[in-house]
Amino acid sequence: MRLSWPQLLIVIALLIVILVELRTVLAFFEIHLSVTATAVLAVVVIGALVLWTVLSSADRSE
Amino acid sequence: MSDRNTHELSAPDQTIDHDEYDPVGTLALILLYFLVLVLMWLFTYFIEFLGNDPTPVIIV
Amino acid sequence: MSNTFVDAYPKQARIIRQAFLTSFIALAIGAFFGLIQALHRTNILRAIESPTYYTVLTGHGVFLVITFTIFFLVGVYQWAVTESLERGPVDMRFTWGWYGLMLTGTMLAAFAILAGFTDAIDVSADVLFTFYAPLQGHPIFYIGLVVFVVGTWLAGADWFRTWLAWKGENPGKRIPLPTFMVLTTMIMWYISSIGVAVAILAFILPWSIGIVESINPTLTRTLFWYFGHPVVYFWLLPAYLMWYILLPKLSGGRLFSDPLARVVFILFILLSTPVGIHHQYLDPGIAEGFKYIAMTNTMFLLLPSLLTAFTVVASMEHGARQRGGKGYFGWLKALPWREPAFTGMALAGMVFAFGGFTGIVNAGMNINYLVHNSLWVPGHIHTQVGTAVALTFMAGSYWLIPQLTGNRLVGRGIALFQVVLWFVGIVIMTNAMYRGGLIGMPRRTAEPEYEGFNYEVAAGSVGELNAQVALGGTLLFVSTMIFLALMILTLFNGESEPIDNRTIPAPLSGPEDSPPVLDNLKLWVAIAAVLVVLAYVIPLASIVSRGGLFGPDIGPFPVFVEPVSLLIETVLVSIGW
Repeated sequence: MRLSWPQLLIVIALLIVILVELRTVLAFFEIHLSVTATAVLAVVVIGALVLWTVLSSADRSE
Repeated sequence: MSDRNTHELSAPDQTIDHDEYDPVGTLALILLYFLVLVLMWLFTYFIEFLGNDPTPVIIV
Repeated sequence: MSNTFVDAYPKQARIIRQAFLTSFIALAIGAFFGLIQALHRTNILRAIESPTYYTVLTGHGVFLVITFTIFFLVGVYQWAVTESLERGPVDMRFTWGWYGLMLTGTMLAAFAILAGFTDAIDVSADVLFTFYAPLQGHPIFYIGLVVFVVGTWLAGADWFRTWLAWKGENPGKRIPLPTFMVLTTMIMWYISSIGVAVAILAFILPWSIGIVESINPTLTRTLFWYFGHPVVYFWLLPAYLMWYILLPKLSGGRLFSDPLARVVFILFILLSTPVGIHHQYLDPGIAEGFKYIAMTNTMFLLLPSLLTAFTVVASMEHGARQRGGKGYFGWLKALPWREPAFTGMALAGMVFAFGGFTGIVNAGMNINYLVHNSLWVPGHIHTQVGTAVALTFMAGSYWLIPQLTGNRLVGRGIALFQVVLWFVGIVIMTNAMYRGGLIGMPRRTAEPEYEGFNYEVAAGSVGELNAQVALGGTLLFVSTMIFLALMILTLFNGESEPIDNRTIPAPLSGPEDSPPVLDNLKLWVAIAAVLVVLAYVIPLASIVSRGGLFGPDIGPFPVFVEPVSLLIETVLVSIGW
């Protein structure tokens, strides 16, 4: 575990927040993400994060 | 006086007193925050002032 | 052996528990009303008729920003005074007295609001939290508010009395920081709540009873906002107190600077009140110049919040470094994120820092015109009082309630999930509120979409914005319910001990480093009074000279059903005229 479970939870929450706000910001630059696209992006990003956290055999276990 | 800086919730690994402590991490976070604030102001300026057309003049 | 607050001060713990209980009941009702609104105005689920929406809205406002916040405040402040002066009040009967008065006032106002749901009782007060004239509620509503405010005044008097008694026993000592924060907050409250007391007692109450026929709405609005902006700091300062006193401890460190904390609270005494007119930028009848003065003062108010950002973050960093944190940003990982009390407060502070930006938008006279009375403003209030304050209170409860009951917190992991859920919910909801506001969606309405009109949404669609508001609102409601469930379970979790004790570590830079003039409360009151006079005397004089004290014949727009004349008779008979 590269991150402890509480840390992972916080990072996921921050990612959700960043994705929600990023979608607004991008829209002002004429990059329109649909809700589905945002949701897919969120699942991919968060899934990658969880895999990266869980599958590594680094020494930081709590 | 004994250092009362101990408690069960999050007992520190070491004690850092006033003179040894240099809050560089705080400085880093605040600089980051100010950078975001500046970006937000730019955003507001470009979107709300340059992004909107003047009120149309309608002559009846 | 445990060393909790309730072990040391069982009598005081009892009244604080009582105040928190009242506060949480209000939170439960207010949160439920919030859910109804979020689903109603987005047209997703309409369980009520649209006219009833305003009863719900009034309840949501009053129960959350008056009852929930202020009962929590008196609880926290009673804790802070007792803990830092190491003594109870001079006379506990007086303490129960002010609590009783606050409760009575709340019950009266709540009755007037909730009676609006039924036609069986001819009482209602669908006047929203701001009770702008000529909207008129039932007199019981206003009487309830006055009784409640008098209760808070006596609470402040009780804390001053405790402090004076302490001072007699400890001559020459500096005021302990938590008590200093309590006293300065109460000074600010005394200065500012005079405004709402005058508005109600001299104008609105006589007018709602029928003793006077007319009212000057600009005058009562101005008096309301004279109180209405400082009241937001009355919600915020207990959260500040917890950030300064509890958060450093929870982080594993010590408060960075006691003197800076004192300066911040003094700045709130000075600057909270002479800014209220910034809520009235769009009000006719107040000259631009006065609005400009209010704007300047408001911008100065950013200073104490930026000072707080520095001091609190530096204290957290101190904790992280003591726990072995390294690097410019790496120390963040060393913070105790598994602790819901810490995480909740840290997330609340973060939302506050970014919500503060939207406050700067509100405060600027020119950009304010863009967002005034739009959904942007509820967006702002939900990030600030709805998260910076409410989430801090909930997180603080995870530490305080075990201290006050002697029971261990039930479900620490669930509590962590709860505070994170709140954070996500508020961002989803307020993001849509801000964006809705920018395209001109009105606030305070059950029907935000007019027929034959389409909003020009910059990104996405109105349907999406609505879905986001409803989703965020639902998450917040669920989060509140989890919080309350954990509180109830903790209350009944006897046979256990809290994992933490009550000690608060001393600041890195203590009171001995601060100039004694900071504790000269009389001086700050005098300066505050001068600033208030400068900001308000001429505008008030001009409003009165233009419209008269009782206004140019403005009749009521009653939102209660009972005929006014009948009411006058009842009241006059009951008071023996």
